Amino acid sequence: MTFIEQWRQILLSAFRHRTRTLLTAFGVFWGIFMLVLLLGIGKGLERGVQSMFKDEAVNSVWVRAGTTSLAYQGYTIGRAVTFSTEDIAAVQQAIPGATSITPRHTVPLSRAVSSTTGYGFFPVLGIYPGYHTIERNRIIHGRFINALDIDHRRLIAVLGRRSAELLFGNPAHAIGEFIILDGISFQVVGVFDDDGGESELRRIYLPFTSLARSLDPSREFGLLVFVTSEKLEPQWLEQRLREVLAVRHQFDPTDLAAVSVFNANEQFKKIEAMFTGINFFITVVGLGTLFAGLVSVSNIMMISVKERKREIGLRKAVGATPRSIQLLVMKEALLIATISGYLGLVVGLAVIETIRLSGLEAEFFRDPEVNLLAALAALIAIIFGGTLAGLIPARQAAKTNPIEALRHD
Amino acid sequence: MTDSPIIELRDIHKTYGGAENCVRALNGVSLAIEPGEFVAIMGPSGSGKSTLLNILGILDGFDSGEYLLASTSVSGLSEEEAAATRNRFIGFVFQSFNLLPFLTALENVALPLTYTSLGPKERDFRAMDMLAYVGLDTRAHHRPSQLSGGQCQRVAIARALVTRPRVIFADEPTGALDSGTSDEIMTLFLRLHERGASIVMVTHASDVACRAQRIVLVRDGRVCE
Ligand SMILES: Nc1ncnc2c1ncn2[C@@H]1O[C@H](COP(=O)(O)OP(=O)(O)OP(=O)(O)O)[C@@H](O)[C@H]1O
Ligand SMILES: [Mg+2]
Repeated sequence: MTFIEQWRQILLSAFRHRTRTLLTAFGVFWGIFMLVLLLGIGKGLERGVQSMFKDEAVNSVWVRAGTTSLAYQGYTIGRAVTFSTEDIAAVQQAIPGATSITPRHTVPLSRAVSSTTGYGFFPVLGIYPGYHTIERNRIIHGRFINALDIDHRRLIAVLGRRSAELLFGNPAHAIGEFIILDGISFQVVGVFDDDGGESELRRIYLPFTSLARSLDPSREFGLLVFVTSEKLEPQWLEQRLREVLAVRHQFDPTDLAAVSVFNANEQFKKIEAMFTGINFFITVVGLGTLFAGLVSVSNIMMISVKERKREIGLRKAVGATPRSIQLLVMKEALLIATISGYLGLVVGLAVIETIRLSGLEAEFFRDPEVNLLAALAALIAIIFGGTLAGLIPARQAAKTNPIEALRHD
Repeated sequence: MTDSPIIELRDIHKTYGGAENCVRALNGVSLAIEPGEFVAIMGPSGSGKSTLLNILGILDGFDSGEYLLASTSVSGLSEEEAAATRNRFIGFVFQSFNLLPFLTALENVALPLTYTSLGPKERDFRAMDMLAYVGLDTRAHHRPSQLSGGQCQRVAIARALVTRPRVIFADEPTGALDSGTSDEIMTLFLRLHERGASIVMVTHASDVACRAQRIVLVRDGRVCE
């Protein structure tokens, strides 16, 4: 029999038993489809969560001053800790490679801010230039706060896009204008945009030194932020920070309430680890579904072989070798698995692509995609699995005893 | 070659089942069949006729003894070789025709040739030739369900002949047919015999057997001619 004839015969046989073929095909189709879909959605979730972190520098460390919860060296519980500019120098010294160190002092309560054209309540923050880097602000008009502003305690302000809109209508018109805060005029030198959402876009940034000079002479602040090298071990880093600050502010270094440390990199890594876990889970579930599909191929081929017992018996009686019978059945399984698996792959990819193109995007979901390598691996798995699925029924078919099969009953 | 028997059985034993419920189907059968002979095998039901024919057709194995088909021992053949031997040397006709219902008469006849090295055109040509020989060339593209019992059996005979086998085995080929149709089929076998075919046929009907050249009686797994 020629190659083409063999495949024609297999196709005819598959077509003769359409219902069964379709059922079998559906099992494999669904297995691959689900695998692809799960992988794509997993990727979308991962990207979504990663993008949530993109708003801030991945390696930023946020140290927040708190209230003591342990008695220490004669001090009682409940003492508020506040940072001063000397702490900045101390952190700079203690943490190798710390950059963009900046205080962030939030003026208590939103302040009434007015311009010639508007009026509103906005959060006002005193910072160093490094803070723009850490928040990943993007300047859209003018400039950021710079070192000279800090040194000269300039009375300038950088507005979030939203606050600029509320105060000046068009953000572009804000540059050079003045805002009045507690009776003091600050000249607007920049307007920024940010991925952090509405509340961050309502912020008004002032140079920390100017804020200290004008609105809040204490020169104290509650949040110290800096960027660190990724290589620093998070536990060590936190320990070191606590030690340094504990000495400077006389609190127990083990007092977790006195200062709290948020290491974005550590959190990011935790999330990454979680997604490694989720991806593993998705892969296991997907492969399980695929495997179930292949088992169903094997099962249905088994039934098929039983039903075709007479045909197979006769073929053997007129000279078909066991090998040719085995190949016949395996090729049918392979054909069904490959075509339906391929379809599952294509439809799965199409669905993922449609989701991506439709721009379905939530805070935690964006740009779903299936790794080409994973898709290829899935395809190879079907071809391999399909052949394997056909093996047991094929062996069974090859062993058919023609006398038994042809007994007239 | 014409002098040596086409089939030679020496002391064949065959039992079915295990130690407890074992059936001694063949109990030392020896038999020689010359090329061109037309042998009818007769005997009471359960005497072992079908068992004998299945062994002759290499569809079944045996426990002891020797079987030479065209002077070659069958015992040492692998499954693949046995299949090839069935294909090349043997044609089988069954009581229940055993045509594949989803194939046309022509495709059914050509089926054994698909396990040879012949190309599709040559196969169709030969199959058509055989159909013409049994008088069914006009029904080549009909399916078995569209044919009568006698016509089906003629297609089955054409299928048995298409590989030009050395010997044809038939197990009660007229068993499922009425007497008129049986006569037609027997005439066909006799015509084959006249053309020199070796035929071994199991039958219950003595009028059928009488038309054979030689009658072999089987009783309780033994041959008594
Ligand atoms: N597969 C089998 N398993 C067990 N016993 C069997 C089997 N096939 C045949 N036999 C037994 O072997 C003996 C011979 O059977 P066989 O079919 O050869 O008889 P037969 O002469 O063809 O009978 P009939 O004329 O009814 O067709 C019988 O006793 C039968 O019961
Ligand atoms: Mg019988």
